[in-house]
Amino acid sequence: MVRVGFVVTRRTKQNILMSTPVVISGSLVLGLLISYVIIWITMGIDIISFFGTFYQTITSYTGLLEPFVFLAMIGTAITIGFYGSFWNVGAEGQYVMGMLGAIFLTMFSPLNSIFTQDNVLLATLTKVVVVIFGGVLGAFWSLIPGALKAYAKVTEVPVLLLMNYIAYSISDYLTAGPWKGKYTYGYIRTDQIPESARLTTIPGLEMLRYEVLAAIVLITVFAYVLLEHTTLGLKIKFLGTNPVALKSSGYDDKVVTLLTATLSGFIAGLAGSLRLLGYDFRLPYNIGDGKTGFYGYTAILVAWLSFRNIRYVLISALIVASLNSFGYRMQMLLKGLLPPGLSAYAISLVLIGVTLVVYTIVRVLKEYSIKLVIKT
Amino acid sequence: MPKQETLYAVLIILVIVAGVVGYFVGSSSVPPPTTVTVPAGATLTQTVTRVSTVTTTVAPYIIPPEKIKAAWIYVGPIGDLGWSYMHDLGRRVVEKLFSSWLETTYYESVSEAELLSRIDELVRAGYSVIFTTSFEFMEKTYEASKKYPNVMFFHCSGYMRRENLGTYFADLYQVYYLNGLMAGALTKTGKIGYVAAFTIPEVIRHINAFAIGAKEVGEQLGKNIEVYVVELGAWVAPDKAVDAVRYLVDVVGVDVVAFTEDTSAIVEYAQDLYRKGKQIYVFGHYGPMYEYGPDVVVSGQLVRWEVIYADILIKIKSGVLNPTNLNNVDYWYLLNSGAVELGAHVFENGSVMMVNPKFVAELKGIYVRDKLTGEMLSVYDLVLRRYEQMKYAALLLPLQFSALTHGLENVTYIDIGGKEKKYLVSAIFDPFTGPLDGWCLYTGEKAFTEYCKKATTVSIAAGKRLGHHDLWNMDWFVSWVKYLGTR
Repeated sequence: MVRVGFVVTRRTKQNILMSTPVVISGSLVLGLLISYVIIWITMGIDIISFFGTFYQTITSYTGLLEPFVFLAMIGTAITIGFYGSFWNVGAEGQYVMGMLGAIFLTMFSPLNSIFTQDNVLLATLTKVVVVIFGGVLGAFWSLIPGALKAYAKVTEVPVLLLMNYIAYSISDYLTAGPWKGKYTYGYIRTDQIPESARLTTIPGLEMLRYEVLAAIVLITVFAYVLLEHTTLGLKIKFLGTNPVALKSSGYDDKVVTLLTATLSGFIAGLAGSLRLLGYDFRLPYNIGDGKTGFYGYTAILVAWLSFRNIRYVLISALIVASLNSFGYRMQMLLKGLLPPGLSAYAISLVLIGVTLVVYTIVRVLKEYSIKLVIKT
Repeated sequence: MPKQETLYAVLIILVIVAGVVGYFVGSSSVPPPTTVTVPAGATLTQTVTRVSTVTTTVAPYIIPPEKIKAAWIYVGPIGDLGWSYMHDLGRRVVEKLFSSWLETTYYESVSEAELLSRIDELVRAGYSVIFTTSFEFMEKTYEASKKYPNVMFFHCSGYMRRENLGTYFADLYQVYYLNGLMAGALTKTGKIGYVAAFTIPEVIRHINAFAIGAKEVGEQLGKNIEVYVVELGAWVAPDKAVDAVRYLVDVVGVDVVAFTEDTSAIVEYAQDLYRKGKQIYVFGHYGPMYEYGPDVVVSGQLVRWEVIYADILIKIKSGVLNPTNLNNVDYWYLLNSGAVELGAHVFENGSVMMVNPKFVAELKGIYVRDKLTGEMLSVYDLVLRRYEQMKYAALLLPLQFSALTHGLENVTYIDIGGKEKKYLVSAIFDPFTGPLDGWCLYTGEKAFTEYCKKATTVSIAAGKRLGHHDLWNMDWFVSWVKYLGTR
């Protein structure tokens, strides 16, 4: 019997040719080339319009900024979780909880009356409260699987995934029931939040809001400082790499797990409340049916692509956002060529999927030297 | 690792530089606005000047565009064979027809949250006419129209308008009524199912029209007609739709189903049941769905959005419509316009199969009385007669173009004096003519009509024909419709 297999012979040392930025950008280029070949074979698009469209995508602020900021925020949230071995695949649910929190405070709590007054300062302060409340709900949503992991040794991944669907269902229940809008013409969805509760558009950068810009800067700086310059960051990293050592140094690993989950969920929740106040203004029905843009899931790819390294989250978010927008833009190019039943989202998935596969392979090759072995 | 850090920094800087360069290249390639002002008393042959450089108070004069770039934004996939498919078919027709001056593109499966980004991309790519084809796009389209005053937007099925945002709709209620006549004849149990996407006025109107038709025939045949409505909460939800039909058939016991859902899933499910030995009757929705259920599709509703798209684009091309005058553009096209049709299949030569030949003999064998004339005729002939009556409304079409004249649509005759005296304006027959009794689905401040704002039941006097406003805001079901809630 012939047995063929790959054997890892040794772990390699870092060199400049295989440094993370080179691996990330190299995978992008290689991934795009392979995707092009797939799309060329199936739909016959010439290489100039393919890469021309890609160039248009990455140079157009309008299409790119919006997915970028949300992928970067949630990507940061998930990466913090990854550092502490808290595999936060539940960011989608935490994001939805953030939305629920934001709409609850602006529309269905006494705070609503503030937005009907003409007090700009008070409204602005209230908006900060609303955004943070979304974060708190996100943190709560993440804390449940976190606590189950810490105290009951329940693996967090399936729990987090299920929590996403619970969040979807709560949202749908509220949207169709107590929160159903009065001015929606019978349509199942909530009313829009008052004008004064919405975030402020940056002139010239229509898809960005001042508050969102501030949040992304704050979150990025916070995450960097936390993980690189604080003892808590160190403890989280310790938890991820060597929990036994953490425990034997006299720290409670349960508390660190809870803190990791809380921070991760808090940031994902912030993204949700910012999204609602700045872009969506209302909750749609069937929110799990792609109405969230699946940012919470796509951001897992961002965290994965950044190699669990907080420094590369922004660039990874940029790459995933451009591939996402690129897929949509391809639609204009592929008009009439897409087989029935396939939408532009499929093209985005091909692009992202191929790039990630390439990246994963390159990463393994970067870390280890591997030999092909044939045994008889 | 300093080298690594440097490389990282260089990479980021490259991305930023590329971005900034691209931004300015992109923004400089955005087409200039087409609005120009002509000073008072000047002739049109004068040199054209951009708005920003002329400061006169004369109303803007719009030059009709030489070429038009139009884009469509769909809520579902164009492969759905229903709603979005038919919009795209309309796009394909006008693209071919006007190929010398029209360029088109589209985005499919767009959600409300991403609509503004897609519109930004289209405007940047030079598209100056944008059609958004879902009710849920209404507010975001309105926002976009404020942001891009030089772009013309047309929103399908909404009611928010501006100088550069018009609305249009091809309504199926008359066709649903004709479907209802057949349903009333074919049902054995008297129980009829309706799978609704949302209970918005449009769908309520369709359900009521269907129910009115079913009762008109079914009652005469001694059946106790009841229409059971299940709401899905989504336009594109094939799995939920099949689930709802299964419930209606197995639990409620209906044997006829009509629906508002954008795919052919229900038709395919019914055909599947037929293969297993259970006959239920269905009616195709929007698209030609006959071929997915040749043994179960009796008839259906077809739409020709291209009738409206062609009209809009011709009027833009000839300078009639421009970004300053869409305030009252509100197409409301019915059977008389050609934008909607009775049937579920289009033959190769372009003609429509109104009723599935499989069921023609049965429908010809069932006799009922025409409630207008009192004469006996077969259900098949009744359907054709009503079709002709609603199809013929010679003066209705111009009234259906503008929000200003919708109020005249339920005027059957006007007295013009002279020897003619009675002059026919709209169709001789309309299904929404009293006496009708109903109950309010929405009441109080959630209601849209005056009837339901004041009371919980509705009673339309005999002979009264509902007007555009009543139809457009319909928030009540006729009394034999039972609402089973969301599933």
